[in-house]
Amino acid sequence: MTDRIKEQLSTFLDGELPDQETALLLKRLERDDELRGALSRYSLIGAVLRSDGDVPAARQVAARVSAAIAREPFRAAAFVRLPDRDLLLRSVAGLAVAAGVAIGAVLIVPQVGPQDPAAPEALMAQAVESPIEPVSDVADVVDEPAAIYVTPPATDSTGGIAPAQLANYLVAHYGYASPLVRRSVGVGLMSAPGEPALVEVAPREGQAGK
Amino acid sequence: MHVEGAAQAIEPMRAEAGDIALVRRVQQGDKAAFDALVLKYQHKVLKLVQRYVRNPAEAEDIAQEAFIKAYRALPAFRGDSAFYTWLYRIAINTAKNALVASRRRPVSYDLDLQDGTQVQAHARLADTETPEALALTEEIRRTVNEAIEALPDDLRLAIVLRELEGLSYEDIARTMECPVGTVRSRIFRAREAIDRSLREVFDGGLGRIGDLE
Repeated sequence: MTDRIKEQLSTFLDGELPDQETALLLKRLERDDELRGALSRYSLIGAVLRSDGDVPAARQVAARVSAAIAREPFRAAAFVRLPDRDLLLRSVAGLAVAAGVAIGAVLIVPQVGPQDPAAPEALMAQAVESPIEPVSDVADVVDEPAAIYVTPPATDSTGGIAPAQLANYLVAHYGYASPLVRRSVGVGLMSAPGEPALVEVAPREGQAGK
Repeated sequence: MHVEGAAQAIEPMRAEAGDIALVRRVQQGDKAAFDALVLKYQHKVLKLVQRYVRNPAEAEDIAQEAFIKAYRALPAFRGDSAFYTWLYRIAINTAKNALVASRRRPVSYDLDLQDGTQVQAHARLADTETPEALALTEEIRRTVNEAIEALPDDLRLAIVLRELEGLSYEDIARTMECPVGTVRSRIFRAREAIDRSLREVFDGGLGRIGDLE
């Protein structure tokens, strides 16, 4: 170890070494135990000078910490700012609602299937896929929390399930559905643009009370 | 020149900026930068921990744990405070937790628990520094202070302005009316001279130079 390198080390300790030289010195520090020892003693000198009491010399701390962190994998994702607790709660709540809707869809689909064979797949795909996407990207969850709330496409009069059919089903199976599902489907029906939602409601006898 | 009792030394602002630069490097995956931070602060952290835990081996374990916690928490460090201030809090909390845990820990059963005197003696031993550690610490303090007294005036002034007053190289250059390069060289030569004496301490039987990392 030359005096030039040690002078760099001294300057580095004082935070006065230019960035480029710092990068080179850090590389050298990794493989040069003598240089690491010098850095440790230089910092000990400063600590003793600044202290009004005795400063114990750490003997094994740096070596043990270095060995420990060498075993830790670097995860780039870990350096992304973590979401705060409210955001996590909102995400979990959103997932719970979406899961409820997905279960509702599973219950609904077999009943309406024969009338429109294409509808169940579309319904399931939307209900299952939608809640997963935002979770993979924290920023999306922050900016667009509403995206994780999924309502079955009951109002789609062109390719989906007709609101009247859904209404029939809902009335017929009202007793089996959870309040969450009832509300989700009900909201979908009532919000159909320009279409009277419950025009064709005709509860089957003997089923409405179940 | 008396340097003892200079506890109110200012932590150099420039060094803080250097720390932040190192932290940014660590956050980008440069583990060597964290090594450098550990080498820089291990003695201070150990001194801090020893306020709570006097046993040197246990204090080193806690200091190690504090640094590892800091490494894991570093992604969340935004640089709102100085790195050492942040590290200081982690070290204090780690030491306090260790203290609480050690009080809950059952007494070692390799002792004859029927012998109350033996148990008390063991507890005292665990709570105090070993004579060797005390001697080494005292020797380091004495050596550093003697070495700095023996320095030529220009070297002594340069390192005191740096370490005790916390001046930047530029400010020291103005104060000493010399180029910044000269300041850099003087501070290094002062450190080298003190380090030579310090190495003799470790080579002289109180500790081995290889141990001090």
